[in-house]
Amino acid sequence: MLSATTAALMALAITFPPGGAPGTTPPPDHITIDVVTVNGSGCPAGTAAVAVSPDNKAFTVTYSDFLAQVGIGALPTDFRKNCQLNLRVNVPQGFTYGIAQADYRGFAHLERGASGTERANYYFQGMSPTAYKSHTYNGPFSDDWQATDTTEVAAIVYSPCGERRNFNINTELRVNAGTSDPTKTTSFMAMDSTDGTIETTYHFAWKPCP
Amino acid sequence: MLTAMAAAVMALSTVVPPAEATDSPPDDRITVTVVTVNGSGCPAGTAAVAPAADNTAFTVTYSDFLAQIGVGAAPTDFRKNCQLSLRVNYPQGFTYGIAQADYRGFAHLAAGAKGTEKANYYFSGSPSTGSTHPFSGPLSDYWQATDRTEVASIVFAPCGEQRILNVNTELRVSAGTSDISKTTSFMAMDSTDGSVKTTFHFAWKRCP
Repeated sequence: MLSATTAALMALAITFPPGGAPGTTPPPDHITIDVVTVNGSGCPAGTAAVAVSPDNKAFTVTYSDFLAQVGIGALPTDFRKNCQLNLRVNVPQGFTYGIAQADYRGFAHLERGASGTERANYYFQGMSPTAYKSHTYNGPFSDDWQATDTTEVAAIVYSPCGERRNFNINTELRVNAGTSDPTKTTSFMAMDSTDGTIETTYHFAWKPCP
Repeated sequence: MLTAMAAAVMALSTVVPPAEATDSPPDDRITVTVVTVNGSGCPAGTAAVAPAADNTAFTVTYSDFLAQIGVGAAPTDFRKNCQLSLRVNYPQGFTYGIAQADYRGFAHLAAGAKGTEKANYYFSGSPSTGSTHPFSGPLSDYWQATDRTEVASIVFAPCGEQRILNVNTELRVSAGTSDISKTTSFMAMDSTDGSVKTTFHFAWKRCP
């Protein structure tokens, strides 16, 4: 009962961090992030939890069912699962430079000959270009894995004076049987968490022309 | 009871995006808001909508939009659809812009199999126009398709005008020359992004 109330408060705290609802107050001199949606075949409704730091500079998404697999017990479509995060990046007026980082953590059990890949696609709403980074693990492997992508934020910030567009991170896990025997073994790759952080290195404000 | 309330609050906190209300009157540009999302590829609870703060774009993500044939597939699984109903707000006056839709997903097509992403666009009560993007196996990778169109409108209503634009997206997979007793071919959609960019807007006043 108390835990339910706590959960509700926590959910509220996620949506409206101290300092007012994000998006309704002008951003301070730091870049901040809000997680708007989390959805995909690897994170259907009710299987992902989002925790945002009070200053909106970091967040953690945890998954209960983000697992790609091949072999015994796996459906033919189970070798690939995805989860897409939609983020609102609040950019202060002026020029901002910083570093954004995403850490992906999980567990993989890959038979000899099998391989697993974590890939993240990055793009802005309304824009076709999609950037991606991928990390591959080869069997035999039965351990935790961790992958990190970093990018300069000056490249991330889109049209701060025009349209305000959200940023999408589509993460994917893919397992390939390769030379392993999927009729006798199961290889899988699971993601436990995704962490995003944004650090403002410097910020430089100016006034709009009259 | 409290648990139910807490669940409701949590649900609300995830459904209502932390942004301005979406019903504000249009200013000097075209805006778009998602009214409904439904279809065999996106039944209730499987799609999530993320609008941009200024309503010039949105992202819909899917957890179960997948068409398939072959081992493990039901006979009706080769075609799945998802229809978006969008409210398009036009400002008063003459407006010109570009509307764009980006479709992204993953396809695994055996040699000889074919997959198609198709979108039909229509304003409620008007005929539809379609756009088709075909893919051929062997393929096991990301796919992306973009539709772009010019938007021009003349609105005399002083407060602008709202119209409902329907976008019916469809994924279809066919066996072709592949052997569906031994393979599975599928096509999945991860996301649909819509955006409107207003190139110019030109308002007028009534003669006295």
